[in-house]
Amino acid sequence: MPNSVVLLNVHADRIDAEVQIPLSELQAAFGYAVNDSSAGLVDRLGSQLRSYLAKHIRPQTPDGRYWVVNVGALGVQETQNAINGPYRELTAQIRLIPPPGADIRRFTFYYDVVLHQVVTHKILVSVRQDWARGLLPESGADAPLDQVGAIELDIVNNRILPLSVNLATGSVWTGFVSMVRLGMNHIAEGTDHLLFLLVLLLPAPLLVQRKTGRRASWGRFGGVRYSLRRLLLIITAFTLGHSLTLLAGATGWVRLPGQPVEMLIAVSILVSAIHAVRPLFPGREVWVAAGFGLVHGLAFASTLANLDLDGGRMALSILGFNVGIELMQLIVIALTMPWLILLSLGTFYSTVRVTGAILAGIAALAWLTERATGQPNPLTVLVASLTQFAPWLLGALALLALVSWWLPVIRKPSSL
Amino acid sequence: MKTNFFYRNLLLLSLLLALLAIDACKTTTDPVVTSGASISTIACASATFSTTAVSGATYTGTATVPYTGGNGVAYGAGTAVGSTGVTGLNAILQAGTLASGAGNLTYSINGTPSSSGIAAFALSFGGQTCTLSLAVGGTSSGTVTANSSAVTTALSVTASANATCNAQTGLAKVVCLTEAFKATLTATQLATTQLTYSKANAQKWSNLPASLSSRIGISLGSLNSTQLAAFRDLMVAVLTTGGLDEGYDEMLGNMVADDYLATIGGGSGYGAANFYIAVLGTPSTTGLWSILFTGHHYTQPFTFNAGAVTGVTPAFRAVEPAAVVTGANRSYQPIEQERAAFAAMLTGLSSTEQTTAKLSSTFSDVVLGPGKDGQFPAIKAGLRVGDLSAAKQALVLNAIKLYVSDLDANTATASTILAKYTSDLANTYIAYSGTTAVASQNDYVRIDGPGVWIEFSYQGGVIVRNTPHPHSVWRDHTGDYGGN
Repeated sequence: MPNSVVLLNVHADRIDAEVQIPLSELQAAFGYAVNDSSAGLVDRLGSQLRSYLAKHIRPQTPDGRYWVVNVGALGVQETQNAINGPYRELTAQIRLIPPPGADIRRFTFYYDVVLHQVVTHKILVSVRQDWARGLLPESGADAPLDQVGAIELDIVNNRILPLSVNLATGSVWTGFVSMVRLGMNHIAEGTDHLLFLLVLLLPAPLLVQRKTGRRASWGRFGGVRYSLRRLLLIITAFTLGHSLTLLAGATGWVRLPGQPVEMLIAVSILVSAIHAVRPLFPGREVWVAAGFGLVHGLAFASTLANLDLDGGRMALSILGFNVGIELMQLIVIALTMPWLILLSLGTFYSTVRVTGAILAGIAALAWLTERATGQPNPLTVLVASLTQFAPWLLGALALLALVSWWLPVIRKPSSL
Repeated sequence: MKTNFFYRNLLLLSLLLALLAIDACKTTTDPVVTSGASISTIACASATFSTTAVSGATYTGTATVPYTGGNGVAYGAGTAVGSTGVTGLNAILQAGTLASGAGNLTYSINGTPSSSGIAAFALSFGGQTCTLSLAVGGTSSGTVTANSSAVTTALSVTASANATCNAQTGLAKVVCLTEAFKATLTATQLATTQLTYSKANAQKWSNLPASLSSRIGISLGSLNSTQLAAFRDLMVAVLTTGGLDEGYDEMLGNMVADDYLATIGGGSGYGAANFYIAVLGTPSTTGLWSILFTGHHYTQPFTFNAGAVTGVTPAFRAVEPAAVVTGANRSYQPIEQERAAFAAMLTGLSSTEQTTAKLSSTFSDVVLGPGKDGQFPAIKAGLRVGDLSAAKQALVLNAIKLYVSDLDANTATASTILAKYTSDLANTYIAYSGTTAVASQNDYVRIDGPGVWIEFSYQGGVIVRNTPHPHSVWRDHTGDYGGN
C-alpha cells in the first residue's frame, strides 16, 4: 500500500511541510469515505481534515515543549508509482513553528496521521529545501531528497515511536554559494535567456549604414574597440534591467503571472532577431536591452519567489542568484564573442548573422506558440534536444570563424 | 383562443389521470405501481443482469426482465422487493412505458449479498408473477481468462522427464533432481543459478514483481523447454501434487494469474517468465544449502542441513486477481481455499470469542512481509486457541494445513511441521481485523504460535483497481531461513 510522504522546507524560524497522504490509507483511519468519494473532498470535509491533521502532527522540542502547527491549504491529487499503480492522495501544507528560543533543527517529530489506526502504514520524512545547507528543490520532483527517516510501527513492541529529527547545521555561506550555483544553472539551462543575449549581440560589432531614401542596414565591422564598447553597454543595460525586476519580483513588490512574462521573453527574442537582420532601433540597443532585461528579471524572480524565503536570506539569495546569472553570462560571452568578432571581419558574416537571426526567430515563434497554448510543439522539443549539443555548436562556430578568417588568405594567390 | 382551450382541457385531463393513478395506488396491495399496465407473460428465467454479484461485496446492478403482451401503458417505479435465499439485496422496478407487445422491464438491484448461492426476488407486475434468480458467487468468483505463457504451459505437464532420480527417495531425490536441473543449464546459466549459501542471499525475496525488486537466480523466462521440464520435476519433488490449488498446483495457478496481470496492464515485468530459482550452496544430503523460488506473489524457500529439511519459511502466498483465472489448460483460484478457511475459522467463533480475537488496529497489508525478518511481536495478540472447543481448534488447524500441506510428503516435511504446529496449538493465538467474512478490503487474519506465524491480508487492488486481492505470509519463529 502506498506510504505517506512528509517534505520539509526548513526556513530560518519555521518549517513548512508538505504532507502527502494516500486516500485509501486515510479512509481506514479517518472514518470518512474519503477514497470512495474524493470529489469535492476539501470543500466537504476540510475542517474535519484540518483538525484531524493538527491532532496527529505534533513536533516537540527536546525539552518537551510543543511547536505551533498551522494546517494550511489542502488538495486532492491523482498520483502513481510503479509499485502501487495510480492512486489518489491528500496534500496538506503544514506550517510548523518552534516555540521561542527552540532549535529549528532539533526536534522530536510526533506524527501518526493514518498510522495511529492503520499500523501497516509508513511515513517517509525528507527535507526538500534547506537554504542554509544549500538544499534547493529547483530540479523538481525527481531531485534526490535528503531523507530524514521513516515513521512506522515498532512491530516487536507494538508501539509507534516519534521520529527524532536532528538536521545538520548549515551556514549563510553555504546558502549563498548554492544561490550563485542556482543562478548559473538558470542561465546555462535557460535556452531562451541565452538565445536572447546571443541574438542581441549578433550585430553588435557592426556599424549602421544609412543611405538617403533607403532604410538603415547593417554595414561593415566597426572595429574591436567599437565592438567591445557596445557589447559592454548592452550587457550592462540588460543586467541593470533584470536586476531591478529580480529584486522587485523576489521581494514580492511585483508579482506577474508566469505565462505573459514567458511570452514576452519569446517576443524579446523575436524582436532582437529581426533587429539582427535589419536595424530596428539602431543606436538604442542599450535601452532595448534594459527594457527586455526588466522582462527577463521577472522570470528569474519567480524562481526565487517559489523558495518562499524571508528577510536576510532573501536578500542574500537575490545577490547570490544575480551573481550566478552574471557569471554565467560572462562565461557565455567570453566563449562566443571572440568568434563572432572574428566572423564579422570575414566575408560571409552577413550570411551567418541573417541565418542565425532567422533560426532564432523561428525558435522564438515556436516558444511563443508553446507558451500561448500551453502545448509543446515539435520545434520547441527540437530546440530543447539541441541544447545538449551546445559544446558542439560552439565548436562549429569556432571552426566557421577560423575558416572565414583563413579563406581570404587562401584565395589571395588564385586572385592574382 | 382555441389553443388556450385545448391546453386547459389537457391540464384537466392530466389532473384527472393523476388522481386516478393515486387512487390505483391506494387500492392495490401489490407493491409494484401498475395502474392499468398489463402484460401476458413475464420471463424471469430469461432475465439478464448488468454485472455479477459476489458474496459480501456491495452490488449495484440492473436486471432486464423480458415480457410479452404489453398494453402500451406507462408505469411508475416500484417499491423494494427483498431477496430471499441469499438475503441482503433489493430489487426495485424502474419507471417506464410498456411496449404494445414484447419488451423488457428494468429492475435496479442494490445491496450486499449475505452469502454465495441464489438470491431470489418474487416479482409481480401487470397481473403476472415470477421469481427472479441472481447467482451470487463466492468471494471474487468472476472468472477471468489469461493467456498462459510458454512458461506456465510447459510447467502444466504432468509427466516426469526424469527417470533416474525418481527411483530415489527423501532428500537424496531432491539433491538428484536439483543436480539434474543444473545439468540442463549452460555454463553461464549455471553461474547465475548456483550461488553460495548466505543469509543475505536467502533474504533476497519480495512480494513485488521482479522488475521492481530484483531477485537472484535464473528467471524461468530464460529457460528452454528441456530446462523447464527439469525445473518442474524438481518442484514436484518439494511441493505436493494432485491437489487443486494446493502445492505445486497453487504455485502454477499463481503464475497463471501473474501472466494475466502482464496482459491487462502490468506489462512485461509481470508474468511467469519473471519468477526466479536459485540454488544456494552445493546440494548434498549432508551440508547446508537451499532452494529459493521467488516471483511476484509467490516465494517458497527450502533450507536443508545435515540431511534434513530445516526451514521452509518465510513463504509468501498471494495472488491478483482474487478471481478465478484460466490458463495453462485449467482454471485456478490459488488462494481462495486459504481465504475460505480463515473465514470459516473466524465465523465459527462465538461473538465473545470474536471480540477477544478482534484487533482494534487496521491492517492494509501483512506486518511481517519481506525485509521484516525476526520482528515477531513480543506479546501475542488475540484469542488463545487452547481456550477453544476441539471443533474450533480444528478450524484453526485447517487454515494452518493449507500452508504446511503445500509441501511434499517425500521428505516428510509437511508431516513433521504439522506435528509441531499441532502440539503448539493450545498456545497459539488467532486475531483478526475488519470482518469475519475475510472478503472486504483491509480484512486481516493472524495466527501466531510458538512456532507458526501466518498472516492473511485482503488488500486493495493494484493492477485490477478497486478489487481487493490477498497477500499472506507464513513464517516460523525459529525456522525462518532454516534457523540461520
